[in-house]
Amino acid sequence: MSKKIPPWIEQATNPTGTEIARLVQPIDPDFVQAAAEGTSPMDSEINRLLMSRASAVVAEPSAWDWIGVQPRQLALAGIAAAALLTAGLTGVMPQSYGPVGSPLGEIAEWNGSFELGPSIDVTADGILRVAQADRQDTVIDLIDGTAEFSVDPGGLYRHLLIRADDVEVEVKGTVFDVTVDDGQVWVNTTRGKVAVRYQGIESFVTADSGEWSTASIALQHVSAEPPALVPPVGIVVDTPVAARERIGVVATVSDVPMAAEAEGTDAETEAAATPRRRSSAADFVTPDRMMRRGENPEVMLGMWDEFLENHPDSVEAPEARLNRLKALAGLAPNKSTMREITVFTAITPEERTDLLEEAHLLQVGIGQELLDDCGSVTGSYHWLISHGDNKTTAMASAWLGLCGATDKEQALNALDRALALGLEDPALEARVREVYTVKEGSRATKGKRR
Amino acid sequence: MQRSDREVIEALKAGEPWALDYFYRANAEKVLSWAIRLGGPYVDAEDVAQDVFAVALRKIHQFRGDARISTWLFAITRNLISNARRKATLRRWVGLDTLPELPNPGSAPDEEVQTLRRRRAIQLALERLGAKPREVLVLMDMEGRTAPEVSNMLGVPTGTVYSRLHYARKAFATALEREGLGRKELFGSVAVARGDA
Repeated sequence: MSKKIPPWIEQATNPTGTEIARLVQPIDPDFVQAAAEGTSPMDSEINRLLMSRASAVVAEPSAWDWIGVQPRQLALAGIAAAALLTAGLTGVMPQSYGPVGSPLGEIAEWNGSFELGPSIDVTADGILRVAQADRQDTVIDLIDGTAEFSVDPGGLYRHLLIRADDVEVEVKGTVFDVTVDDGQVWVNTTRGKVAVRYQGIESFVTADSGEWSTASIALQHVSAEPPALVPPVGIVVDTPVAARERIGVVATVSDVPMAAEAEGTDAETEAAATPRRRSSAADFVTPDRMMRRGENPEVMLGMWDEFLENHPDSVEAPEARLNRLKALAGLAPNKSTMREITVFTAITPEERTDLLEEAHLLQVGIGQELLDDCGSVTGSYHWLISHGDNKTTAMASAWLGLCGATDKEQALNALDRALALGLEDPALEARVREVYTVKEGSRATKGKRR
Repeated sequence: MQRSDREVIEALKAGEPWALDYFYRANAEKVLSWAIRLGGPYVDAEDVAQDVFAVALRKIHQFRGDARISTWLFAITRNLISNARRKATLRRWVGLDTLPELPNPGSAPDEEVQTLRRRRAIQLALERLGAKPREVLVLMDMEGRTAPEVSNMLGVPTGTVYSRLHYARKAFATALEREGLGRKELFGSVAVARGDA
């Protein structure tokens, strides 16, 4: 391998402080200094501002400052009290305050923001239906997409229930968002605590200030039976690992069936007879696709981190590492996080060819012991797919299908299938055969790579 | 005489005569710099700075001292700049506003004209950055603040600060080039001749 992949990428760990400092783009300090001086205020400007202090007035403290309540809050409380009093006197309780400016019913809000009563702000990128809105409860059905709710913990009418498919999210004061998309419901809490209920199981998603936590719930419309620990190959099961872990832990293993093969099922035979799911274009997790699927790469990264922390030795750990790297690679084009910086700068365009070859070799991995390698490099491989030109992407897509091979026979069968499908890359094939010392027609291998 | 934030705030609340003067002198240059660098060429920096002080003094009794004065003032500045930029953008859309004219040579001291021209070019380069990277570049590189300090001022994780800094630096270097700001323009002919740059 001519180019070294940074260890933290290969090992699916976070970069160290030193690596971060090294990776931040350097800048000529003289230029910055000159720019700072060039935009510093002139003495004349400062003097004019200082002169304006003659007319400046320090506001007198108001009663509100002392009692800690602002007039607006008090006014709201007063209005609410008056409404309650009126209702009590007349014996007629208000049936509905309704979302401001909107009747009960369906609201299609794509990238819209609106108030829902006096205590709930909604920013929606989806379709909502206000099912109930009275002084006892506000009930929102999230039909599709994402909606972020900000609920004033001390506000009126703050009791809010979100229904996303069969999942209920209950809250009384927090900031969170809910996404329903493609058989998955995501609850991402940025402040406070929400209760998530699904099929009789309740769990809580909490977050302190500056942090976030997420629950992912894979919906089961076919069967209410607890899912098997590992889904069988070829069946798309967007189901978490264990029933109790459905909430709060991400364990979606639908698109990488390697662990099943590792258990020695009939996967090998089945894989040889049927196209592998991973060769499907739908499985290439580009950032755009992740976004469309409602899978924020950073959220995914956090969830796989959590999974690996809780289940480091589980049979799903290799694919968890792989998915973690996919999420990591998925961050690259967003250009918004530190992790992304490291990915983006660690793998330069010049390294693509070498990486691609290396990825090919690894993904035709021979033997169970290569599973981890295969998985970890697939993260980089996905990165290549998302950044490569059409040819690179097509080639990468074809060869990615070989990654699931867990022994020599499978690898060579997969190679033959790829070639039979016309997914040819003579130079690469020659390299593969050279490294694996594969003799044409013999399917025999000697020694191992590297 | 250096005074602590708490001392200044308490004195302002109590109406001590020295406090207002001290508050202005201690923060005027800083607030004006933010207004110039973050407001861009379409925003009147002096207007914004005056508004910042007016708002700060109006809300002084709500300031509990949990944060440093500079952090609090930055938050106010940031909000006011955001409003000012939005208004300026709207005015530009409807054709009511164009880039303010710079003084002609002869109508103002040469040095001031040169300073304003150079400032305009740097502002335009900063405009090519997004608001968030621009803030980090200004606070960290131009003002020399640390990442944790900026993290606190902006309310984002330190990693995010580094991330924004990374792209801000890349974008700024490119933007300076596009605005035609080479070493000569930035450092002046003396520095170039001296070989400093």
